[in-house]
Amino acid sequence: MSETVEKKDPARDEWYAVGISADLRPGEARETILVGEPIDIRREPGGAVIVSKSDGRACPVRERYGHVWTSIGAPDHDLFAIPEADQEGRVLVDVGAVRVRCSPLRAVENFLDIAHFPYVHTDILGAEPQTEVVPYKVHVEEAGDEVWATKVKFFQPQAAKSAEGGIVTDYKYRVPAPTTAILYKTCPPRPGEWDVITIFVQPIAEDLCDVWPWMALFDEDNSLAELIHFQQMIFLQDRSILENQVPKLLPLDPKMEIPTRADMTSVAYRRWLKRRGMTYGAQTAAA
Amino acid sequence: MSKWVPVALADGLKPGGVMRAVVGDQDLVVWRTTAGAVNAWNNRCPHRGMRLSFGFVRGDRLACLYHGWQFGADSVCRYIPAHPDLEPPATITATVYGARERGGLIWVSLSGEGEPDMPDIAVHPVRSLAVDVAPGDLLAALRGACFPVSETWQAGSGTFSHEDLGEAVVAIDGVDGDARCRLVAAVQPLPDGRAMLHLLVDEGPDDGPHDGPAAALKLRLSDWAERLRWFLENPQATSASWTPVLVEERAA
Ligand code: FES
Ligand SMILES: [Fe+2]
Repeated sequence: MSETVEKKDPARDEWYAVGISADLRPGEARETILVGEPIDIRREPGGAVIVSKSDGRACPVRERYGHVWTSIGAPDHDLFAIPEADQEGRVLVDVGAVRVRCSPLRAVENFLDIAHFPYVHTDILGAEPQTEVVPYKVHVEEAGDEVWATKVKFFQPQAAKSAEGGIVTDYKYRVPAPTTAILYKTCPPRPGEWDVITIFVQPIAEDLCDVWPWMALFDEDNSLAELIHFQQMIFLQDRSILENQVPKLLPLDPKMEIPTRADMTSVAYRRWLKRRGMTYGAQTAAA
Repeated sequence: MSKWVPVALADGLKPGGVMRAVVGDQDLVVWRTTAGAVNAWNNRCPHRGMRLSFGFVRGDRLACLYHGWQFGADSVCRYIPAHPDLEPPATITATVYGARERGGLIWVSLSGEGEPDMPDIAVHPVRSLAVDVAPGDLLAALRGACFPVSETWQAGSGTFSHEDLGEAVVAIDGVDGDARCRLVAAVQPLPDGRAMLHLLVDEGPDDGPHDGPAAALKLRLSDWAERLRWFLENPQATSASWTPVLVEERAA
């Protein structure tokens, strides 16, 4: 039999950000690698974006949240919604890719983690001795099959570019897709609203990824350049951690690493990945 | 059974210092408490796998850089900053390997059995440097090496005798007129096939007050080590192009 039936593959059948929309002008093209496959991204003179594989086959395309999204497989769902993206008054910030030699899943897990703030983002997102992670709530939202962490609180000496002095910041985390994480956090200039900070992770290989941070903020005081610079600094601090975790792949076997109550989000994320069969970038058996 | 391997000059790891060492295919963190005790562990935090060699020492504990978990010198986790009031379960530990200080060197062993193969002599540190030759070739060269015993030493003068102090340690005694000097060289295999040379010196009992070798001597021996490296890494080199580093050197 020469014909192969395309098996469902959670890593291939997913949407991934592969570039910033605004950086791809009509007539321009760029090459990249997605889940191990080379792809070609090109904007037609008319404005439409075409993504194709090396054999010429076309991939599905979306342009949303400042980025070009595609898939090398056949997603059975549309790209997830971020309603805040359309909310009046937000500054939408494309930060640009940070290349990290780590598993795309480790990159997401690190983004969901607050306990590292005092040590990795010292005096910016956290500081000793305020290191305690008070209990918060984690659940999997059945409707959209998303991981959520809510009622997260943490002391931050400089919570955002627009924050002066230390405050206890409220957070919510949302994982709408295996390599996308959305952070909602207290918005100092607009009490009652949430700033939205996301990472869209483009898996290149199981141990290599481009992280595309994107933000939708209420911020009247800072220039776009300052906001980008702030977020890039934070991600570079995370990169020094991510490139030094052993093993490189995210262990899905609970025996391999020891969590505490502060890691409830990470534990739920790992279980959720396992249940979905998303093992690209993961280690499933203890070494 | 795994052997004891010299991984650093003892003087190179100060109290409160943390370093990485690779032995075979095992990645290790080697660290010293502020009180001075040396420890060697698997270079991996049991929490989320961060390399502990990026961590920092607080008193008699090693703290992981990622979330600040603190491990006592017995490797048991003592403090989890995210839960300051929690006494961590005693089951949370780092994996411990053997660590010793002997003969001015730090030795590690994956099995921790036995003792380092070297007498515990008093020597002074000179330097460590990586040489792009196989460890066995470096040891062979050291067993036939000559070096500038004094400032006035000239090629061809002096007498040299060589003694194995252990499987990976060679002592070279040089006498030149009134001057005498003992070099102690330890060889560490590196994971990429190269060799690390750890160099120490003993001026002997006649050298007056024992406050360590003169800076000039250290500098001379440090230069010599670089010449030795150059010579070994360049097989076409001959004594005509270089102050000799071997008693029987390659002829021009
Ligand atoms: S990985 Fe070491 S404290 Fe979390
Ligand atoms: Fe971080």
